[in-house]
This record gives sequence, C-alpha cells and structure tokens, in this order.
Amino acid sequence: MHAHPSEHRLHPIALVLFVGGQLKEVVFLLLTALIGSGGDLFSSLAGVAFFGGLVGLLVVAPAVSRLLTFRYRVGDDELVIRWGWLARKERHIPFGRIQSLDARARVLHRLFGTVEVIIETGGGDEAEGRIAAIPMADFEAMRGRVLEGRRAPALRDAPPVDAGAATMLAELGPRDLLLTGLILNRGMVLVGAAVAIVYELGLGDRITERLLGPAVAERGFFLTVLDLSRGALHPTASELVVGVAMLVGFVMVVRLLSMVFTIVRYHDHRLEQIGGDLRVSCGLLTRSTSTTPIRRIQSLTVREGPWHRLAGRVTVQVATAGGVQFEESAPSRETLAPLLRVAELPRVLEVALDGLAVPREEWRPAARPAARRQLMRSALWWMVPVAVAWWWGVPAGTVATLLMLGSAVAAQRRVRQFRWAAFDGGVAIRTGWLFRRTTIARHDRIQLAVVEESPFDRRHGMAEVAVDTAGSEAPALQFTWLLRSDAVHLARGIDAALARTEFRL
Amino acid sequence: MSDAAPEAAGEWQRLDPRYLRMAKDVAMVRVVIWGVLTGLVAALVWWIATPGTSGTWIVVGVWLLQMIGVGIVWFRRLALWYRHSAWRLDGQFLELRTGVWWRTETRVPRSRIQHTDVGQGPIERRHGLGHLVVYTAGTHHGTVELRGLAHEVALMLRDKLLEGDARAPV
Repeated sequence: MHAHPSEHRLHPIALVLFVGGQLKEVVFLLLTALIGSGGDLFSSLAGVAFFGGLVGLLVVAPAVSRLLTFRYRVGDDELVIRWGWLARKERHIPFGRIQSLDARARVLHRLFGTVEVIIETGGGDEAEGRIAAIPMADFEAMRGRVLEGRRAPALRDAPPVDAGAATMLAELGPRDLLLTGLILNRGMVLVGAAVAIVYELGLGDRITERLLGPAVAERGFFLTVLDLSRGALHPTASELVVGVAMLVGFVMVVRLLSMVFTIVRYHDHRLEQIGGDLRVSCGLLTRSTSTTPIRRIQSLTVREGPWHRLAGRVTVQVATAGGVQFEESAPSRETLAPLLRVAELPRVLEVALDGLAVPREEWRPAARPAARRQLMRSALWWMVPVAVAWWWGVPAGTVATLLMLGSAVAAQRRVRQFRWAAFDGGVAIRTGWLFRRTTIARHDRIQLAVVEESPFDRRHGMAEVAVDTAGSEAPALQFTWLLRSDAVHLARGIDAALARTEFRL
Repeated sequence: MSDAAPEAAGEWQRLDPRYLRMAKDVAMVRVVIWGVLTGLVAALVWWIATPGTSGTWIVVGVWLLQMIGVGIVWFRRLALWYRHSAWRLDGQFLELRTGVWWRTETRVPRSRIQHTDVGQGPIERRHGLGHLVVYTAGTHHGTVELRGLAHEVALMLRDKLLEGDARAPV
C-alpha cells in the first residue's frame, strides 16, 4: 500500500491514550510481576531493566506501532482508514453507509484541542471506525465532507439545506441540570458502586455497626429485617423514628449523588438540528458530540414520571437502528433530551419525527374488559404470597396486603391511562400510570405487526398487537388491551401502509 | 387439499401432512426416552421401598398411568398444533398462523424482508420436508420461521418472496 497524498496521521497525543488503554489491559500482569518478586524487583539494576523491558514490550511498543501505522483519508465518497504493521488492514466506509459520526473529547483530548472520532454504520455491535485523536478542526472538516457527500446521491429529492446552519432545539442550563439530577434519580448507579467497594474491602460489618447500632450488627441486617417482619422484634418509638429518618436521609443522599452524576454527564447539554441531522453534545469532563440522521430514527419515546409532571418536563429518547452500545461513562445517543420543557416538546417532536404528529382525536382508550381482567389478575397473583405472609407474621402480612391493594389500584390506573392511536403515517401508544411513556413510530420504519391472542384474550374478545421496528434498544410497541376487532383493524392498517412504503436502513 | 400450485390466489394452506408423520416419529422417540427414564425412577423406588405384591402393582400402575397421560398429551398436542397452523402467500405478504392456546398471526411484508433461508434437518430430509426462515430488520420479531413445509414448497416460497426484488442493491 502506498502513502496517499491526502492521508492524515493521528495527533501525537494518541500515544498517551494508547499507553493508557494498553496499561489497563496488562496492569494485572505487571502487578503480579511486581508482587511476585517480593518487592525487590527494584533493588537491583537488572530488576529495574527487566521491569522496564516488560512495560516497554507490553505497553509502549504496541502503542507506538499503532500511532505510527494508523492513517486515515477522507475520499470523495468514502472514508478510508488503515492500520497495522505486520498484519495490515484497510477499511473503506462509504459515506452513504455512515449511520453516525460522533466525537468524544476526554480531558486529555481537550487540553490539546483534539477529539476521538467514532464512526458507526449500524451493522454489528461495535463501531466500524475509531480514530483515537485528531485536531478538532480536522474533525469538523471531515464531518462537513461526510454530510455533503451523503446528501448528494441519497437525498436528491430533499430540499437543499445549509449544512452549516444549526437550529437549537433544547439546551440545559445550570438550574435545569440540577433539576435533571433530582428527577432522573441516577444516584443509585454511584451508590451501587460504593456499596460494592465497601463490601469488597470487608468494611460492611463495621459500617452497619456505626449506622444501625451493635444489636443490628451482631444479628446482621437481613436477619433483623426478617425478625421485624415476623413480629418477633418490637422496636421502640425512638428506634422507629431513627429508622425512618435514616431512610429519608438515604433517599436524599442518593438524589444529591444523582445531581453530581448528571452535572458530570449532561453539563452544557445541547440538542441541535443541522440539516437532516440531530446533534447532541454534552459532558463536563469528557465532552461528546453525537450526530444522528433523522431518517435513521426508528421510534421516539417520551417519558414522564411524577417528578417530571411536577416540574413540567419530559425526557425524550429515540431508538436508532444498529445496536451500538457506548461505554457506561458516555451518554447514550438515544437520549435526545434528558429533561425538556413541555412547551418545547412539540418542536422537538416535529423535527425528530419529520413532521409526523399524533392527531388528538385519534387517541383511543383501553377495551372495556381490560380493567376487570387486570383486577382478577392481580388478585390471583397475590393470593398465595399474602396468605404466606400472614402465616409468617402480622407485620409481613400487613405489608403484603398493602402491596396487593397497591398493585390492584396501580393496575386499574394503568388501564385507565392506556391510550393507543393509529393514524395517517404512523402508530402511537401510551402506557404506564405514575411513570408514563408515549412511543411513536412512523409507518415506513415499522418492520411488521403481529396479532397475539392468549386464552384469556379470547374469553374477553380481546387481542394484542406487537409492532416491531429496527430500533435496537427499544421494546416492541405492545398494544395490549385491544378489542379483537380493533387489533385486527390496527394490524391490517399497518400492513397496508407497509406494502406502500419502502424501508431503507 | 389439492396439490395444485399452493401459492395460487393466496388461500390459506395447511402444513404438509408429512409433517404430522414426522412429528409423530419425534414424539414417539421422546415418549420412549421418557418411559425409560421414569421406568428407571420407578425401579429405584421399588428397590428402595421393597414393597409387597400389592405395592409392586401400585408402582407399576402409577408408571403406566403417567405414561398414558404423557403419551396422550404429546401426540394430541401435535395434531392440535398441526390443525391450528396455516400459512399463505398473499400478494405482498407471507402470512402465518400458529399456536393452539397462545395464538399469533404474523404477516411479513415483502418490502421488509432482508433475506431468507431454507433449511432441512436430517429427520426432515427423510420425510422430504424443509423449513423457511424469513428475516426482517426488526429487533423483536426479526426472525420468522415456518416449519412443516414440503422442501419444494419452501424453495418455491423463497423464490416467490425474492421475486422482483432485483431492485434491492444490498
């Protein structure tokens, strides 16, 4: 392979990133070497040389090789990357196949004005291309070329749009950011990690004793709860107060942690429309920018919980084709807006769904027998657990009975809140009671509709319709609680639309 | 059911009757294996408990009863399943009905088919049967399988489904 005149190399800072990545993989090996030597590896010059050689061989050499051999080139209609020293690889990625072109800047990247580029084509589980570090300006240029190149053949019928003009659809200010943390409650992620570390270090018992007193620590937390549920333990009023206060305190700490989490992840979150693409950028330390073509959106979901409603906000997510999972630390592209003012929702929907909207009058409620069926179901489901709980002890029985009543009420509410709609251009469904989700799918993104019927459905003249899209992380749109006639009608309507439309990934 | 071109006029088609025979073979093998396993358990019980003559008859009776029950369920299930399964090729769609208690009705639009497979296992080959698998880009129902077709019908269906699909460059 000859060097191409327009080929670019990586920014040298990539070396540090490669070494870091490589270190992560061999850190265990190095530690074993160090510990195995009893610590006197460094007592002699030979030891130092050996250890240095090991690090060089395992860590630095591969990194240097990757830095030196990696090349990329932006062609007229494709992106070409090649790498490897002994085993060489060259990958051509046509612009038309590029599902998304994302940039991510860790702190180190930002210090040197560079970004990591992640190219996805929607096939497979991994990104098709990764360019570890290139100057920001080069990335911008590359993105411009890709956008231009993609437009030319595929979207000839679409009105020409100025690729450079960005329309801001939503952004999160500092106050919104705190509210996001409060509402989304992502703190448990951090708590879970903390708990795991505490127990890993064997500090669990000591912390239990500090927090809950020696009596609980001696018995163990779970045994104490078990005894409480049986009515064998009689806590004093002050103990109860302390218990409740600790519970409240825990919840508050989790929410505070959640705020920290969202500040790091969603700092300066922006959702912009640029031509036919949606661009999301956010992050305090690692800053990521992801661009999703609107025509790749398979379905859109609006979520809202009780806190959302109190604050007049919603969360907007989309499902795109191709199951690419980002690492834990990076925000998923699928969340268009973690927290959006209800007033701003129509505009985001208009853009993300390409003008498709659910007509108000098309929303229809659940079939009449659904409520009674759900009631029967929760009664049957809870019968045995409640009986067992009463046999176990009065406190457990009381709690179980309350849970049963709660589940019955929740089931009724869910049925009452359920809505579905079939309209010109798509279908939509709204489920949930306290935590509601509304999902909308365009006809031309639907793969197929399946009519499902259980024996219970048949008894009540009902049926379900499962509507499948190519959206990777989204569940199928499950239209439960329909009359059989409506279900068949819905499925046939979708079928007719599918026959008319073409699916292009 | 006539042997005339089954795709004609998009009428509902039953599975090939040979499937019933093949499924019977499979069920027979299963019942025999189940009989041997439960027979061993019964023998073990008899050996540990060392009952008298009446006790021996009880063990044998229980074993026989459960064998009859299992046999009836397995063989009837097949016939029921066969009776409730149907397919048709209706213009733009491949349509499937399956399930006895939990029924599903799947219509795969031709415009959404990504690719198709025709397969034939060793037992299927003995009976001249095959199966057709249709793939869409869907996440949850992306694979739709139609078992119990004559192998030629499976091949014919595949060709029909891909017919006029030369437009697709992928």
